[in-house]
Amino acid sequence: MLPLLIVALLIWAGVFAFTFRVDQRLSQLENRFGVGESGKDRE
Amino acid sequence: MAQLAKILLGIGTAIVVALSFLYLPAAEGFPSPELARIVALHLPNAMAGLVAAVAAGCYGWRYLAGGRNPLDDARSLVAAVLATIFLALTTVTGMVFAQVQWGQFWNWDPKQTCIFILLLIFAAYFVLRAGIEDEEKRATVSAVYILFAAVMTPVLGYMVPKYLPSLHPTNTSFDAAYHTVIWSASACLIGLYAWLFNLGVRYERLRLHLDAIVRDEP
Amino acid sequence: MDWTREALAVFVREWRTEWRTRVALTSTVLFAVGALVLIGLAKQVGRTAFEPTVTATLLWIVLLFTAASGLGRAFLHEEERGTALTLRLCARGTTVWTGKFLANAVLLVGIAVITAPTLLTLAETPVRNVGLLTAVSLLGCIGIAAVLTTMSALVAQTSARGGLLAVVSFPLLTPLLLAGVHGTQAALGVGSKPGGMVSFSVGVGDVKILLSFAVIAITASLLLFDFLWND
Repeated sequence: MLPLLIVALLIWAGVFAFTFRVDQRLSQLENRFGVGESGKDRE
Repeated sequence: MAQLAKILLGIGTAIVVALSFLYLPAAEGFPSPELARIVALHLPNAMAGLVAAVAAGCYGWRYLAGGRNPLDDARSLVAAVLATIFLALTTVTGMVFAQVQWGQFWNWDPKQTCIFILLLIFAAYFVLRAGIEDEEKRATVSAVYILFAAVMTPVLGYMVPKYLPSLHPTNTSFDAAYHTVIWSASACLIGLYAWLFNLGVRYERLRLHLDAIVRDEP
Repeated sequence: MDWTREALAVFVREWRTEWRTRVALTSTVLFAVGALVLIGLAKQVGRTAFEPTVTATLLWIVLLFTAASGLGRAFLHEEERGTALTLRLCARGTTVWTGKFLANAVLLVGIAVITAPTLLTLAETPVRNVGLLTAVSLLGCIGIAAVLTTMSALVAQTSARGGLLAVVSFPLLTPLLLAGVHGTQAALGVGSKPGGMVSFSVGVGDVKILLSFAVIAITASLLLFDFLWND
């Protein structure tokens, strides 16, 4: 079971890191174009 | 605040994954008790998928009834995409489970069939969208389709079990450990759904904004 | 009263324009006949009568595919000829839908009247309750016509048109197919003792389900069609 658990955790870490990165990138773009929540914060 | 929630979701899901392997006891009464742990992934996926499917219908309704806001159409689309992903994962984990426990990947079990038909409906939804150029027309047509499907699918859920024999246990009493893990995993996956939904909608909003800029330039 | 007259006017107009060219009528009937000929030939290869379960399945497959090939024209030709706008000025959404639904239902029931007896004769399957078979086919045709009328209005807006109608409607029609096949099998004596007639009660559950399916499909279409029509 232990190897499976490690594989599962690695997959989750990958998914999480990717999503987090996309989130940050979207915030940057929103800031640049002044759209949405993070864009409005700046204004 | 929002960043904190995301990090908590990441850690929480990691803990639930670890729990489902280490804390969850092997389920007695199944041909392969050790591998029955996949239900801790299978059921929460189904729940997140159904939440997403209902959300797709609700945003379709909001588009038609609430002033035809293009963002509502985008929300409906994003929810439909996520529903497709979660339901596909439900089907795959279900098939693995069925192979291990009942010796067959596919056996036309009612729940299996219902989820597969839901997947077909979403596939048809995407094909329908792909066939329409005009954005407003596309939004209206796909909202009407998803609402029509939303009315017809409860009928499906009611009727199909009448005709197909079920292999799904109806009277299983999961013990407390299973309850804890399945419900916390559902909470995690629904949280993940909310996060991905937020990202998808923000992406679509950005796209709509940039499209408008490009259109307005001479 | 006014509403009924308007719906009937759309229905009459639908058949009058159809009668001028008879494209949908002939192509749909020929599609059904072609399918029946293929089934008959395929059966000759095996040289045995079909099991009632197979006959029931074939009947619904033929009906569904014939409907998907012929009923899609309801809204498509309005878009092609550019008459959709005029119709929009003259009639309300619900009456347009009702008129076209009635025209489709009549066409499909006509197809079923030709298909079902021919198929049952070809397959050499004895019918053990004609009333049940009629009720199941009639309600099934109404349900199929209701779903396909709405879906053809959606598909008429797309650029793909042709094959899309089957793709978008078949998943929604699965409950109807299950109940229809089960009811037809009951009428052909599957699950009953061999020989003699079977009572109507063996399929009454399927009849109820088909009826509720048709009612739900018609109600949902009437409620949603205005959104599409008044766009």
